This record gives sequence, C-alpha cells and structure tokens, in this order.
Amino acid sequence: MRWLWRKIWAILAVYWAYSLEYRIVILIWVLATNVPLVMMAAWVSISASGPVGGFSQGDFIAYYMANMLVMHLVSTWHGWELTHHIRLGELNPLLLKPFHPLWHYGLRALPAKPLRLPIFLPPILLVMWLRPDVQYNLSPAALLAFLASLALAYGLTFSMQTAIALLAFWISHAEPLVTFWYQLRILFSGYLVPLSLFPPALTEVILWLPFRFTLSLPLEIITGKLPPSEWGAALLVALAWNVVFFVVMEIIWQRGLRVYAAYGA
Amino acid sequence: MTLETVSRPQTEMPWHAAWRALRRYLTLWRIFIVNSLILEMEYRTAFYTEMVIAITRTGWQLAGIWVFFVHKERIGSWTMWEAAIVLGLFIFFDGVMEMILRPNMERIIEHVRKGTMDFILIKPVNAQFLATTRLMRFRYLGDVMAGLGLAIYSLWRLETEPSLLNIFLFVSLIAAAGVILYSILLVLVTLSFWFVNVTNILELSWSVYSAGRIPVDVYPRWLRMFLTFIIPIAFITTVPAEALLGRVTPRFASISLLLAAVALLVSSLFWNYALRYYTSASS
Repeated sequence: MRWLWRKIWAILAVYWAYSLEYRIVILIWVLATNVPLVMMAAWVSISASGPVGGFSQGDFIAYYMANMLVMHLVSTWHGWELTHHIRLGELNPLLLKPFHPLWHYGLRALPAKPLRLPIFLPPILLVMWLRPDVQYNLSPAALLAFLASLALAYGLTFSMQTAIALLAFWISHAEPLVTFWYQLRILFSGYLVPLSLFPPALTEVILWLPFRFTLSLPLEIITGKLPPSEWGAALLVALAWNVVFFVVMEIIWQRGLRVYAAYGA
Repeated sequence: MTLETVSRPQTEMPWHAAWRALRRYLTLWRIFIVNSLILEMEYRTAFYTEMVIAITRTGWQLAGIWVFFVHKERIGSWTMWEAAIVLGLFIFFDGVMEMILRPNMERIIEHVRKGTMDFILIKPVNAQFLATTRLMRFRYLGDVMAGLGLAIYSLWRLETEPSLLNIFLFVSLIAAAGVILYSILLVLVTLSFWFVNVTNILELSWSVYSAGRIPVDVYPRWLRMFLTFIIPIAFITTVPAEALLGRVTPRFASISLLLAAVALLVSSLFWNYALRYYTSASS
C-alpha cells in the first residue's frame, strides 16, 4: 500500500509545483469564468418582487456564489488535452511510467484546488456579511456530506470526461465530442440554472442523468435545498454513477490501447 | 509603378489619391481573406465540427435564458424573444471576435514578443491595417451565422417588422459596435509593447464581454453605468437590439457612432504612439 501512496504523492508534488508557477494564470482563468455572475444578476432582478420557484434573492446569491467555487473544485479540463496526446502520440512517455497513465490526468488537477479557496472564499464571506439572507447549511453533518459529494463529483467529472476523450483512439478529432459533453454538463448539472427551476417534467428527466452529481448535488447540500433525509440516497446514486463510469472508462482504455498506433517519436 | 507615375494626368485632385489608396487597401484585404480561406480549408474537419458546435452552443445559451421566462413574463423590460435578439447579437459578435479580431490580436502579441514585428513595419502598407486584418479563422463563421440566425428568428417570432429607418439604425449600430470592439481589443493588445504577456488581459476582456449576453437594464444600476460608460458593452448587444425593436432614436444612435469614431481614433493614436517603444527584441 505504501508504494501506492508514494506514487500518488509524487504526482501531486509535481503538479503542486506547477500550479505555484502558474498561480497568476490560475487567478486570471478563475476571474474569466463569470457566466454564473451574469445568471445571478438576472435571477436577482427577476426575484426582486418575491421568490421564484422556491428561490429568494438570498437563495440565488448563495447558490451562484457557491456554484463558482464548487465548479472549480470538482472540475478537470484534461479531456481536450488527452485527445491531443492520443492523436499526436504524446501518450507514449506516460505508458512507460510505473503507474496507470490515467492517474496522471486524474491527479494533476488536484494540487491546484486549494489555491482556489483564497480567491473564492473572501467574496462569499463578504456577501454573507453584507446580506444576512444569504445562508449556507454549515452544520458538521452537512459539511461532511458536502465533502463526500465533492469527491464523488470530481470522480464522476473525471471518469465521464475521460471515457469520452478516450474515443480519440478511434476518431481522429475527438475534441468536439468533449466540448459537446461539456455543453451538456453546463446545462444539466445546475451550473447555468438550478435544476429545480426547469419545468417540472424536464427536471424529472434531468435528475435521472448523471450530470446532477457532477455539480448540483454538493450545491443542493450546502445551500440546504436538499433535506438531510435524502443525502444518503443521493450520495449512493452518485457513488453508483462513479462505479459505472470508472468501469466504462477502463474498458474503453483497455480496448483503445490495442488500437493505439503511437504516432510520433 | 514608374509607368503609372508618368502616365498620371496633370489635373489630379486629392480625392483621386484617396480613392486609389482605398482601392488598394480593399484589394489587399480581399487577398488576406482569400489567403485565410485557403489556409482554413486545410483543416476541413475543424471547420465543420466548429460549425456544429456553434449551433449546440447557441442551443444551451438560449436554454439558459429560456428558463427565466418559465417563471416570469419579462426580465427588466424584455420578453423572451426580445432578450433572445440580445443573445443572438452576443453570439454574433463573439463569432466576429473569434473569426476576425482575436487571431490578429494574438499574432501581434506574438510578433512583439519574438521581435518579428519588423516584418510588418518594413512593408509599404499601414502597419495597423496589416497587423489587424491579416488573418481570419473562418471556422468561427458558424457562430456569426448562428448568432445572426437567432436574432432573425427571434424577430420573426415577435411578429414585428422593423421599419426601414430601424433597419438602417440597426446596421449602423452594428458597424459601430464592431468598431468599438476592434478599438478596445487594439488598445489592450497595444499594451504588449510595454508588458510582455497580455494574453491574460485578452482572456479577461472576454470575461467582461460575457456580461453582454443579457440586456444591460437587467443589471443593478452601478453595473449598468459601468457597462455603458466605462466599458461600453451595452452599445455592442443591447443598443443594436433596441434599434431593431424600434426603441432607439436616431439621435441616440448618432451618439453610438460618435463613440465608435472616437474609440477608433484614440486606439489608432495609442497604437502609433506605442510603435515608438517597439524595440525589436530579437537578434
């Protein structure tokens, strides 16, 4: 077991150094994601005369402020890069390393995550201080469930994205597929709009899709929109989706390696 | 060239020279466009897939604002399809930036960093023209068309037929918006003569532009003022949409045109001033 941790630790240490190197880029990149802010402004304006779909102004602000932080914590953007690496044969050096090559993609985004906190937490605290109606469920149980749902959201985002990116073994231009997956996720994960605000029939369908567990679930828990009695079941479904997509990812990986031509040097 | 000089009639007026210069620059621009097209056709798959992505991207953005109207009749003073015109113009100008402006702006930064700006400066053409029109990425034509398509479809859904005057105002406001965008980006890129890495500033400017996807009067007052007077995003998506809906007076439209003219002048002056600080980093 110790050798396993040593390997994981080595990858994390390398990318921690990377992310320190690129911290300004990370800051800029974070500031550039302001779609939630635009949506928040619109909803705050719409709910000025009273709650909309169970959301008051404070609820909308709480939702979208947390949304930006959670989106950055649970997301990896390795899919596009992975398709390049497969097409250009840059996967080769990874195949020689003494661990599963996909670990590299799964772990590399993690060390930079803590650097997000000093960027996102102060605005959230400021808003909470300025507007008492912006509230989060910060009980120990909620925080625990929140952390669990974050981990599961990260795992699901990673495995879904990787499974699709790995189609690059067969298709020469797989980036559009990853982009398309990402667009579906924006729409159906609650990033753009809280899922319960879609028309009821549509919400029903969306809740059956895996996308909810890539973002919406942690938000539902921390903003108190999901009653504690339902946390356990929701986390189990998230875990089940994780298992499904990690298995699918591994199957595609094994099959893909057989057809991998390893272009380039 | 010499022949032409010899055969030039004695009675030449200043506007003849201006006309010839204009024709020359239009010809050059046509050559740049054809060149970019040939280059782009090398990457046909990227071209077609980017077209498809433009349509799906328009789809999710429209779905995002559609949800507002599941709950409310209007946001600000805008109904669903009125707001969709704004979104359409947002996507349209996003495409214009990606297709025409960004490729060149990114190249300028590259030129300054590597010192290859020399090759632009020594050519017997206006450097600003050459540097900012050279390259086009036609794969983003999909966004331009999807955005315009959404705006036209929304107008059709509204069952309003804009008057000839409104169409005229709209077209001139669109032109003004294009010029404003060009000027803002040129100023930002010109900063690269002093600061080596301004690619990030470009990223940030896109982020501010992103506020244009919904009508500005939805925002709180201070933000609306900021988006109207400091970084005039309002003039790029909201105002032209209002023109199409017949809510803009010719007088207000002329303010936008004036703003565009001033922006172009200022950015041009800034560019020429900055060129003096270009030190040709290489060798």
